[in-house]
Amino acid sequence: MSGFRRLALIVALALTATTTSADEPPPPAPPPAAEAQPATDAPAPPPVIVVPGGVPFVGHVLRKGDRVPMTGVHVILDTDVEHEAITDDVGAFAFAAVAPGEHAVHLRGTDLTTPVDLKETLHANKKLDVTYFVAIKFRYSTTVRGAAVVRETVEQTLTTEEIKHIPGTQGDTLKAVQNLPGVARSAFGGGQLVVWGSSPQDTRTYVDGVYIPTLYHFGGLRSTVNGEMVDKLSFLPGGYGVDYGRGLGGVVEVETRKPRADGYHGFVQIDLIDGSLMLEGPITKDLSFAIAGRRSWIDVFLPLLTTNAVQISPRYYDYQAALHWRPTPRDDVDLFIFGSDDTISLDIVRPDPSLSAAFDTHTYYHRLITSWRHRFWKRSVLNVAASIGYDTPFQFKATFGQTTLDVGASTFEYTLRASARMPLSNWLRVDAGIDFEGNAWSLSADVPASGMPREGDTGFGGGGGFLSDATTLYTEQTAPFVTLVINLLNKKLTISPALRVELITASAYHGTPYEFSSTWLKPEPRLTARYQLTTWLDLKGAMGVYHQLPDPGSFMRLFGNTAVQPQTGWHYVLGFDARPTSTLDIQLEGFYKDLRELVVRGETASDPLLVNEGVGRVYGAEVIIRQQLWHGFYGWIAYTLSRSERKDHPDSDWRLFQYDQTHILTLIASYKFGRGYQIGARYRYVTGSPSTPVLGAYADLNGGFQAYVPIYGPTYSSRLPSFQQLDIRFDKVWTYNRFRFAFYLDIQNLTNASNAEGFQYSFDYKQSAPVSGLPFLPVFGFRGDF
Amino acid sequence: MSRFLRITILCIACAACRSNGFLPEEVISGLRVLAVTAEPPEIAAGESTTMTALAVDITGTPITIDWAACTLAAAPGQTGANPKCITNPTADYLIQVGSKVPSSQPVPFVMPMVQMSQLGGPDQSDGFYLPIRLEAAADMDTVTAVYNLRYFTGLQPRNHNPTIASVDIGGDLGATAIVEGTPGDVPAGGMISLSSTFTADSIESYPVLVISSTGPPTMKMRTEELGTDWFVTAGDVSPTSTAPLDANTTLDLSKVTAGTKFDIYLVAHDDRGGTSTAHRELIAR
Repeated sequence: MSGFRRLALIVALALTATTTSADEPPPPAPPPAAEAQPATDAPAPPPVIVVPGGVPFVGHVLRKGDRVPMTGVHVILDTDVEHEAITDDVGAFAFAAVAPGEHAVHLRGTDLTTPVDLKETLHANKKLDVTYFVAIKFRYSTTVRGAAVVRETVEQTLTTEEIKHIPGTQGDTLKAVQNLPGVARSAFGGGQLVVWGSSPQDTRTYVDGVYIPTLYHFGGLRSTVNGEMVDKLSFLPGGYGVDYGRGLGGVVEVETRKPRADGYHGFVQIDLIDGSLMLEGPITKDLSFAIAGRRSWIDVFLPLLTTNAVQISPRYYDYQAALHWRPTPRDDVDLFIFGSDDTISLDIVRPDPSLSAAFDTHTYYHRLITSWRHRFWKRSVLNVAASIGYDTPFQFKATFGQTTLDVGASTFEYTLRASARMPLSNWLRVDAGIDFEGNAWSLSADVPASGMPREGDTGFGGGGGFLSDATTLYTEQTAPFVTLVINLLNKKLTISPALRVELITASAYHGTPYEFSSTWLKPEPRLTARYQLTTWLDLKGAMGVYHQLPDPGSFMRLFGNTAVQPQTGWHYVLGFDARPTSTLDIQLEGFYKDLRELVVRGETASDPLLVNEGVGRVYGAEVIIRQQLWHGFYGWIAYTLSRSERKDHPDSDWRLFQYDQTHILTLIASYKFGRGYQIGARYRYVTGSPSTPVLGAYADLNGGFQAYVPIYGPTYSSRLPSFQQLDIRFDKVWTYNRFRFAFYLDIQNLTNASNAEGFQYSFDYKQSAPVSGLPFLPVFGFRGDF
Repeated sequence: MSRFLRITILCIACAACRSNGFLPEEVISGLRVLAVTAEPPEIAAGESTTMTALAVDITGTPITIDWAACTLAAAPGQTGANPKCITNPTADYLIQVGSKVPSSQPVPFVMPMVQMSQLGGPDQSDGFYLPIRLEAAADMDTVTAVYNLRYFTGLQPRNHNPTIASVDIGGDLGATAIVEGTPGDVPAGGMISLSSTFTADSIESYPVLVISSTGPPTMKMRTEELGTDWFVTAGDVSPTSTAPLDANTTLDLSKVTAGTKFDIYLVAHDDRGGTSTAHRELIAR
């Protein structure tokens, strides 16, 4: 028994607490179907054709452009079926001895766009080694299931090839999640993920099972993880299983891909926003690497548009470095280091320092993940991932004269996630694991006494004087989880009862009179069920309990309340999955969310600044009809009908949630013409977001200019006008044997629709005008792959 | 809400918005209440002050003002005064100070015996304020304004109003003072530089309390920030706010025809409720 295998068994048994006979010698069973790349102990040798006096004829068959090895291509000599070889896993074929002379060579395979016919001349006593580059039909990879232990009730899984050409994304695969049902549109396309009526901070993003604070750079321009490093993007809007928690909203799960080991590859991409590059390849037979980086250059040309008196300097970058080691056919060990950094500076320079102003924000995260996956026999799998990281998810500093507003939150984060999947019989499987997340938050704030703005505020909460507070907040969240996957009625019915138990601790102000330490134990039962009504139609349902710690700043003594508690959400989902054809998917779900103990502002001047008195309710339905590539066409229709409401205090009335959007419709269509041409379009219609009407205003005579204070009507009692926008994208790819070159033109808001994102007012609030969002915006870019 | 927060919002709004066609705040085109000067500007309970409003209307219609003090504190997170002080003029938490008072007439006021909780939280200068509500009326037009009268707690020295010493027209040969009551000549269609000066005692220093969870409260001295806001009835002034060390602003008269007589108003604020105003007349030649 190898060391890896022994260690895997110990961990897996500890997680599942079962006495399975996993230590038996592995039979030559097929590898887990859930694995993207099944492990094979010894690939079958290529066929050998022997002719007396012949010379060797060997070669590789690779995909044109990116040199991906083509497996299963038939190489036929002289149309004689007996002289036939089939390419192996690395695209290699070999004929041991072929008679010298000219031979016809024919390449055949279902993936080839056209049959390939060639002629080769072999000379006596001379081996012929060739490489054939072939054009391959474009087809999507099938949806693969990796680390997730249970099939989710509501899950949208997108492969990178599928979403790379969606208009409005500038080729950024991770931006596609904004086009899925259940996701509200954020103002100015800012990239906030508002899922099923929950706040953006309620939806958590994971990369290889490790939480990251933000999926997008500022303004939603780009994702913080290079899309080329991503194998799969899964979006779980609610009712998901026990392997994730700590959020009342949804989950975005990003799975990175293994670096390629079939040669050195990479790309360079340049457009008006930023530039990025990537390099990957093998180091040894079992070890491969990938590195990538990206930097914006908005800050390079923006000074050309500003003056010396007003300088704005936005800048972002991100990086990724991956190392993949396969020590045995059953083990994968990965090291992934990545991070993201965003800075925006605005300086208003005046001769009098008291009139000068500066605004700076600098947010970033860095992660180091080590992971290990071991495949047992009978489809048992163990995954272990540990990570450390350092984040500043929120930081803002403003100075005006001698006054400074400074607020920031940084954290050292350490996590461990281990999960095991152990089939016990043909009708029962146990999935179990543990999910640990620890944080040491450094919090500091020198801001108005009311703290930072919160959902439900009708204006900028700048009332009161300035206060200064700082502390280190320690939070640790440990969650063992287990799921029983029970298959009944000849596997037509799958029921998955599950339990996750969150043990949460929070403490701060150590060594001061205000020291506190809180502990909560929160059981989270969840249940999913799926019944196969017909061969193409499933009925599905889920319910579950979720908890979420308030944001770290809520625990600050002077700006929040050290006694705030975790918030609670109950999710209920019922729906259908249909696949009427092999390329057409339809998902329909109804959902209801019951939110409790939400952190809200105190109701009266004598209340604590923050209290757990808020409740919320979200209900609606969503549908996605998705056509995979079919005769050059693919696209989807996504529609969500929902309502999200909040009640801040027991005696308050229900009101709309800040991001409530009744109708969200997204249409995406793309067509491949062949010869590298592709055109796509996206149309969106969204109900306007709630806004709080301004009923009037008064002049604040102590405040100087811009001192009029609006008098607001009921919170979020009116709406902005509805939003609609058409985007188109054009792609042209030139494919050569060893490299590929691409050009794209991505036009957002083709019709230059004037969509209101808010209102601006005259100084006395007697006149108003809408603030329009993105105008007609063409972005073009170039990309080269090798 | 402190000034820099307003500037923050303004910058964000300006970055997002397009030209909107709104009349600028510095151009007086109707009824406006520009300032209230209380003398003295900081009083304890039972002490008296005299408040004078600077209210203008370009039509020359007589302006009357209803004065009231509001004893309802703002709720946590609310900006400025409690909105109920504005929306409910007959509520019992309003102390009526004067009704239909001509705008030029000073109004005496005695600070009532209020609980500190009725004044809300302290501002950046550790000050507590009693909101004074003004509703100015001229013909059919009405404007509502709030002046925060500083409550003397005895923890800090009293604040005093700043004093505008002069209003000057700049030029290559030096500044020329504009005399109050005597219209100054300016070139029609041109641009002139305007500035103001203050008396030496206008900028004061005062102690503020620094509260932190990481240590005991400490005191630090803070110097008042003095700002002057410029208002005009014709022309275009930029910048609209100046400070003592950067006191020059530019008045653009390119759209002002010869013979036009117009007004400029200066309102100077310190950051503790102290106010000084000035009015000058100009004629475009």
